[in-house]
Amino acid sequence: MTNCRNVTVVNEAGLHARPCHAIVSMAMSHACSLRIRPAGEGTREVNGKSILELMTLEARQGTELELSANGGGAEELLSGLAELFASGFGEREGAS
Amino acid sequence: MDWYKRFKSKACILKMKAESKEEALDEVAAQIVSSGLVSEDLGESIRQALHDRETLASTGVGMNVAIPHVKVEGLTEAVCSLAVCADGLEWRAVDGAPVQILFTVIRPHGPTEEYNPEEHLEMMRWIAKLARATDFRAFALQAKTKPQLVGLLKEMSSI
Repeated sequence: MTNCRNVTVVNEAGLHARPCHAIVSMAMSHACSLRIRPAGEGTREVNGKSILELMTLEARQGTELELSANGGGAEELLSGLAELFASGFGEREGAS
Repeated sequence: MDWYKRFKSKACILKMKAESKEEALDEVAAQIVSSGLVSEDLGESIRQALHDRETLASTGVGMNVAIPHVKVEGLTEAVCSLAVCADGLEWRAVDGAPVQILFTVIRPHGPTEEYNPEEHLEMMRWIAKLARATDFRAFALQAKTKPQLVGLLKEMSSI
């Protein structure tokens, strides 16, 4: 069964390398798979456990993303990621 | 945008001498300064910024690649460097793999006549796509000359 959650990129700098690192670090501590794509788009889906793939999303502030997790710890991972996105990855304005 | 043009040959390194992550950051900073692309008095700021960035989170993004990238006061445009260390360096990368290829990006703190911060994510996306390409990584490790190495960026630019 696949669990899904939509999140929004709220930090000013968007999904640059450090937020991608934070997402992957959290995802790697869960057994489930994680796929991420811009909400409403069917094609550009990437592996949420790869920083390089996440960076190719070029997700700017305000972008809505759909997270899909499948397997052990899926719901826990999605909840953790939702908090991470909502916190703006703990970044001050203008960080990168 | 032709992002490969940001990587000037004189700022790149074909065979790094560094034996550790710290030495590698120093070596890249020194190369960027010696290239003449940035003022010599920014050398220490660049070196320090690169080290400080690693304490926030490793720039090792997996697949034997690291992308150290920092903002530095006093720059007017982004300066980039591609460096290769075939032996691999421990980098605390997200996948635990040693780093062999470094894309370093040094950029101004804010907008300037030659630099638009809005381009940053797009350039990082271009770098990420190149870095993911198995062929690019293999050819970069096999490059015999610096023009060959830097030429790969242009050759595979539309990947």
